[in-house]
Formats: sequence, C-alpha cells, structure tokens
Amino acid sequence: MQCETFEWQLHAMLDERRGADAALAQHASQCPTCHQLLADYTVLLGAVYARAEVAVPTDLADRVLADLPRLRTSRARHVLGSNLRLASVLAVAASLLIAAYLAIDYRHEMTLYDGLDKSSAEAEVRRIEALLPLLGMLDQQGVETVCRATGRSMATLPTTFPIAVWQVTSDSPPDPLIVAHAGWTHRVASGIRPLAVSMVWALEVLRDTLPSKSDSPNDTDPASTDTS
Amino acid sequence: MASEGMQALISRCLAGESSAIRALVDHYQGMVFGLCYRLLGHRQDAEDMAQETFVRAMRSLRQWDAQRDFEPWLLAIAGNRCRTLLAKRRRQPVNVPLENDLDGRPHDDHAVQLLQEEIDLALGHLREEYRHAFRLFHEQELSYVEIAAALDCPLGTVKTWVHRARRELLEQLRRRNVLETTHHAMRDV
Repeated sequence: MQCETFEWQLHAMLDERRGADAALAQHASQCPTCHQLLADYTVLLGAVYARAEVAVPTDLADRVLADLPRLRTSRARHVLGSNLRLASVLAVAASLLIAAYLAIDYRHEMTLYDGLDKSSAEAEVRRIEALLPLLGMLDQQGVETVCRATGRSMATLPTTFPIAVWQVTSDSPPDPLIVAHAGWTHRVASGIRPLAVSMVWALEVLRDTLPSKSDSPNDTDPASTDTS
Repeated sequence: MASEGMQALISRCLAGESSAIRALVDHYQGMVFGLCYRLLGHRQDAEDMAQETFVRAMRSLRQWDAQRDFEPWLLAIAGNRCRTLLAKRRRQPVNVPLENDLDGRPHDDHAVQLLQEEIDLALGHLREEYRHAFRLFHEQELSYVEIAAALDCPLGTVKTWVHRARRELLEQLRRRNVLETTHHAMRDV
C-alpha cells in the first residue's frame, strides 16, 4: 500500500465509522509518517467525540404543540374550504353538463326543421305562434280543462300550451314541429332556472371559500430550499 | 422508505392527535436540536429553529412522500431554517459568541482541555460549510445522506467537505504543536 492510498483508505474508514483493516494496520506499522497520521487523527477525533453532549430543551414538544392549534384551525378552514370548493366545482360541472345536454337536445330538436327552406320554416314558426294567442282566449275554466285533458300542471302549461291546445282543439295528432318546439321550450325553461341558480351558488361558494394568503398552509415543500 | 410504525405515527399526527405529535417531537428532537446547535452555535437560536422546524413539518406533513425516509426530510427543513437565520445574521452582523458546552469535560485535565479549546479555535477558522459538515458528521453523528439533506447539497460534496475539514483541522493543530503536546501528555499518563 502506498502512502497516498493509506490516507484515502483512512478517510474511507472514518466515513464508514469502522476500525482499521489489516492492510491499513500493516502499512501504519511499517511507515512512520502514516503511523503518525493515524495517531493524530485518532487523537483529534477522540477529542471531538468526547465533546459534551448538548442538552436538549425539555419543553420543546410543549412549545411545538402550543404553536400548532392556530395551524389546526387554519387547516380545518382549509379542509372545509376545500370540500366546499370541490362541491362547487362539481356543481359547475353538472351545470355545464346540463347546458350541454340542452344544447345537444336543442340541436337534435332543430334537426326537425332540417330540409325546410327558410320560407317554409318561417311558415311553421308562424303557425306555432298563431296558437299562442289562444292562451289569452281561455278563461280560468278553460285553462283547467286543458290541464285535466293533458295531464299537465298549471306551472308547465304556458310552455306547453300550444300542445295542450292542439290536443284539446284538434282530433289529429299534433304537428311534430309543434311538439318539438314546445318540448324544447319547456325543457329550456325548466332547465335554465336551476342551471342559473346552481351556477350562481357555485360561484358564490368559490368566492367565499378561497383562503387568504395568511391563512393557507404553505403550498411549497419546506424541505426544498426556502429562505423566506 | 419510512417504517410502518413511523407511517402510522405520522398518520396520527395528520389526524391531529396531540400525543402522536408529542411522540414525534420527542423522538427527533435530539437530532433536530443537535443539528441546529451545530449549525448556529447558539443555544437560544437553536431552540427557536428546532421549534420552528417541527411546526413547519407538522404544517406540511401532507407533502412528505411516504416512499422516502422521514429523517432526511425533517433535517432538510431544519437545515433550511438554520440557513435562513445564518443569512439573516450575515446581513445584520451581531456578535453571537460560539458556545461550547464545557459541562462534563474533565477540567482538571489540562492537556485535554487545551486540545478541546484548540479544536474550537481550529473549527472557527474552517470555511462555514466545512465546519458544518464536519460537526454534523463527527459530533452529531449524522450519516452523509442526512447531512446532504440538511445542507441541501449533493452527497459527494458533503464527503469532500468532511475530508477537507479533517485535513485542515489536523494541519492547524499540527502547526500549533497541539497534537505533539497532547501525545506527550498522554505518554506521561
């Protein structure tokens, strides 16, 4: 073993916190310089290891726990806020799905007008709109009659009135276009309101539950370099 | 990877159990406080940083990856806190005497006491990173992995720092003829 190798092996021995192996010991016994080096490191590190242990503060756990309740409150708010945010996000998603369904459904309904030229489509729309004034011509008894005949409630009657009127006043089946139009307007009317309500609620929850910067736990990993 | 027992303890800490948090602090306070003390050289600062380390760890416990060991993560937090304070000290220099607990040393052994004082002096002359790495390895008896996590540097760099610290300490002690004197004292005994 060369002296350069000896010092390298000596450091490896110290790194691994083990005693000298046979080769190291043999070289040290034959080389005065390396023997002195081994002896000096032994004295140095022996003195270092003999340095008194530093007494750990006895109240560290108490101090940590005293600091933590404030953080637990903040975390509870964060968790609660997170749950509400999740619910609001789901509500928005559901609302968007409903809107998408209605849009798709409307597009499907609109396909019933496919094949018609503009003038024909306009004629069909006028025919539907012509029935609407019947609403104003029916008295309360007439409305009730329509409700009983069609099995529809008063609340849904206005949007489906053309169908209801057609059913009461005509023996022939209602025009599919009228059915489609009435059905779509009914679904939109009955769908838009809850859609709007759910979206407004969701937005309000999002606004109210966004935590302030001072409350939210540190979003970055404190084990990464952090000099804040 | 953390042991099952440690993972269970941490789960209880996440649930907010005070007893679990206390157990975690009690288990690691020696390691964390020792590291802070060796880096800062000031007892009060070390206590404050150790407290802050555990508070931050509890606050961010969900970010700990259970596939990795817990100690390096905790020591990295402690190292970050200490480096922050050291950086603050450098910007606002204050005379902070390096403390050395002399309690327990055999005061009647002059040669040994002299050697300890010379080692303190020599450590003070080392580069800060060499001194930190050396003390954490030889005094705090941390592993190279733990020191690398605490000092936020590669493992190979820590080894290099420790090796250089050993050489420089030895050279300084030899220059001051301390080791030779100590050897003579030991031979007399």
